Amino acid sequence: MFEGRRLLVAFWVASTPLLRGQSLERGPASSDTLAEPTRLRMRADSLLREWRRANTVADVVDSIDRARAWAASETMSVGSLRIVANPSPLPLHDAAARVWRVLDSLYGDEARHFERRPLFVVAVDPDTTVARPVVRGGLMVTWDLDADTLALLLLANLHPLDVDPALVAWLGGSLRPTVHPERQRARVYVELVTTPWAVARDCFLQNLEHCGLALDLTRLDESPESWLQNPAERRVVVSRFLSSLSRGAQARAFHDCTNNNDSACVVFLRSIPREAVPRPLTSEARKTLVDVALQLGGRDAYHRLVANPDSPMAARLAKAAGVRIDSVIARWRAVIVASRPASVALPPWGLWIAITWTVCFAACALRSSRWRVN
Amino acid sequence: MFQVLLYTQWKWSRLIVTVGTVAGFALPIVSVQGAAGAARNPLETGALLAAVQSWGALYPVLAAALGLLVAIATWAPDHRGRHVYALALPLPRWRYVLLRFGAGLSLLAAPALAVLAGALLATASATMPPGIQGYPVSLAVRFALAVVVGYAVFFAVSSGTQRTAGAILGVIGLLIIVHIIGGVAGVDLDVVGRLQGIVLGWPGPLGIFSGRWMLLDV
Amino acid sequence: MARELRPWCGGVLLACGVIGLAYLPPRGVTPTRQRGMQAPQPSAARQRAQALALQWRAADRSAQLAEYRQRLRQEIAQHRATGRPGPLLHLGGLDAVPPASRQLLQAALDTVWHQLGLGVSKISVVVVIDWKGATTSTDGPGESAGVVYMFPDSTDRGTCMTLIPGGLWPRRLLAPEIANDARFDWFTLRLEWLRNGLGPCAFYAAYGTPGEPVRRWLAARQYDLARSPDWNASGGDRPLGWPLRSPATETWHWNAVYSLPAAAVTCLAGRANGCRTAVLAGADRGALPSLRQLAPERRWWREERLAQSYRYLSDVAREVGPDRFLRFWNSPLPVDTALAAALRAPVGEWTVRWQRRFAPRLPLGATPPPVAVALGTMLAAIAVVVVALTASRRTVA
Repeated sequence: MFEGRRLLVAFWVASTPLLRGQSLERGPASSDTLAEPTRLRMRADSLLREWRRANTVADVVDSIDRARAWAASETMSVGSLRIVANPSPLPLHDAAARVWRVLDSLYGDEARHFERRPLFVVAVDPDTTVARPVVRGGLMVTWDLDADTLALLLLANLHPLDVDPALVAWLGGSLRPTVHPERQRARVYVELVTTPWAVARDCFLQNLEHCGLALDLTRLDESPESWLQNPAERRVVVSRFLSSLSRGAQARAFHDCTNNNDSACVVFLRSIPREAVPRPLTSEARKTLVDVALQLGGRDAYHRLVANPDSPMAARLAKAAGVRIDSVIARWRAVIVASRPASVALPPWGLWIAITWTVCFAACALRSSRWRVN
Repeated sequence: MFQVLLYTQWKWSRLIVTVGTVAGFALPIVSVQGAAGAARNPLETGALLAAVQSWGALYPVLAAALGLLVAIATWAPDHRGRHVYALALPLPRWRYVLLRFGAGLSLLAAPALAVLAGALLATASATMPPGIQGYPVSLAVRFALAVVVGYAVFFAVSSGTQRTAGAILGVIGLLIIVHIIGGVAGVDLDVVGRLQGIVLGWPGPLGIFSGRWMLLDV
Repeated sequence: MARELRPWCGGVLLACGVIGLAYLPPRGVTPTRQRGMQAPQPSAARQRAQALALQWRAADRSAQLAEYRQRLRQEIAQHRATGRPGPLLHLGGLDAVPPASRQLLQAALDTVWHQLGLGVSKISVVVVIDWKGATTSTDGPGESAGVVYMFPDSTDRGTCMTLIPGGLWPRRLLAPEIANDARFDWFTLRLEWLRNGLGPCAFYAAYGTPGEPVRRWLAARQYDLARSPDWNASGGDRPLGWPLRSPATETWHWNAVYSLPAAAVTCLAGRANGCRTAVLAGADRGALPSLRQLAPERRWWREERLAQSYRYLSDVAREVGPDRFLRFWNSPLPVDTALAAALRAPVGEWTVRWQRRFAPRLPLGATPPPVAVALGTMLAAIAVVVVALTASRRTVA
């Protein structure tokens, strides 16, 4: 009888139509209530077994597809960077060399971990009438890209080395190679000069202690009000950026703070999560600080930076750089100040272009019949 | 008198009208190429409607262009001749203006009829997926209305003196400059965007040009 | 003039003829390849595995529900015998439920029950929350299934069960410390989650087992019109939003609009016959076996047959009142007759008015808005009149 029931279940499973997205359990009008859960559970288990078989087959098919797709590919090695690509006119070696230089300067010896993370690149014909291969996984690029653009694309698609959550939280993201460091430093310069925060302005005016505050190198247990230097700043931050937190227990403190009660502002700031308070400088500024620390520290700098994830950030940066944190900050400030962007100036050929166009339009106007005497 | 004016207007704007007529006939037909039979690469319903919507953006452009060019062609000879001929006619001037307007409008009937013919042919020959129907008559009527509105507006602008045209251009230029200065100074003064919304949006006077011009739809 | 016109007319006709011959009938279009990287298409074997995973999730949920009903048989009987108002709440799964979360849940469920105006109901409602976690089985396919309902049937005519999956979201909703996160109104979110979890069971509790025609109709449509019981809600209607429309920019998302069935699109465009078709779809099916369990698609927007269908019957109940709705719900008459009688209006017309409450009319075809036509024509007339008036002042300089 048990065998008969299994046969019945098997027959039912085989004849059940394929359902998409939803299921209707249209059972018989009367059924043995005690057997129903068993019946349904047997059906579910049977489907699970069927799914496991199908999943295994699908995994095999996918791996065969992948192997077939990459069968004609070649593996290129530049340093520890591995790129698997099909033969094509793409300037892959040049681009890979540029990428490797950037990775090596950032990660030092740790860049050897990229050996285990090959990049898969599929170069395709830029002619859109040519059918493109179906490839599962990999970066598809047209082979008319130049080396610079390709290098940027590879850098953007490279998975950076994993870092600890504390560093990610402080940095505002993972530690990725900087593509245009000089532009980034110029933006940080503008940020320092134009910031509304007193602590960041003091940093620009050579107050290194305030640079540390602006770069969020304070201890985790310190309240964020340490980087809000005066009552006006505290009130502005609370009223403009933190109004969404003014409910429940914090509502009273918020209200008092916006009515010029500085003690209430301090109470409010201490009662909310630290990460809810906007920081004086952006993550770009902190990234430039990391870059300076790594440059000061040499090849092993990155390894020292990630070695002790539990240490305070200031200590980690100092250890990475191999000097005291004051020296790192001083060096950072000097680098940023030296990166002042060029002011808007007339390019040398601008004047000639303007004169040429003026003459052109003047000639067209003088050709008008209005000026011609018959 | 109307016949004479019509003839002169035809001479000045025949090229514009014939090209516009052919374009108006072709546009509906080209827009439904995706509604082919099963053996001929038909587009799926969603892609077909997207293609019709994309082509539909050209109807208001064509209507505005026809209105502008015919209006310019209407008044250009008079401006060149300093209106001597027009003022010498034994007609009240307001009647002369209305006859000019009517002549231009008569010529613009050709492109509107061409759009209607093209739309009817296109919807008759298209293989429409289930649930989709054609709107040839409403499309042609809307095109005709858009042509009339565009022609009337440009007719008024073109008829003005150079001082009037200069004043209008000056006002438009001033609005653009104010918009740019506001942007540079960081002031929230979206003059161009707001005007665009008021004039082209609903219920603006030029709202007939905006929106979707769908020859095929659900 | 006529002689001069002939070559031009001939030229135009010739050009139009060439275009017609070249492009009619339509020749088809090769779809353009998508720019940029395309998502890889799964293989046929992978698609089969995914389809089996979907079936297994639904079957697993059904089995779980049946197991719970068997296990809770005595509790259900006791709950019914004591005449306690409110649904029976059961927290299933292996993980321990914090007492504070349990309290929050019970309080929220009682609030929802009270808001729906329900007391002791003829049909008992059992709410089972699977607290175990995001997945029902550690060795099965990932991705959790949605809510599953078990309706009264011949074996148990007095119980409607709903199995709500656990996971991160319910745990977050029921975490006691969540009240300190003032960014969201967690209380309202909790009530909405529970209300949607009750779904059609709330209708059963309020109005009893529906009449045969209504039951067949709703079963054919997977109860899509009765997913959100909110007939006592106050305040205005929320405007139509994602995925069909952006209320902020007042633009329609046409891809999403065209993914609806044609009847739903024409209903949005204000056509009463389209609305009638969209609402009454499924009412003409023949006799079906009773629908005992329902596992709705989690991505409900993919299966909508009418925009905002999940609130349709709630809004009908709110508008017509409990008595008229009860008569409709239990009516032996065909659905269109019973619904029209309850609404005291043709179904299509009422539905058009209902949709106008939260969405403007969808513009279909090429017809411009009448106001735009009137204003444009007025502008044209003004322009011509201005020219005619100013022409009289023109002089030869």
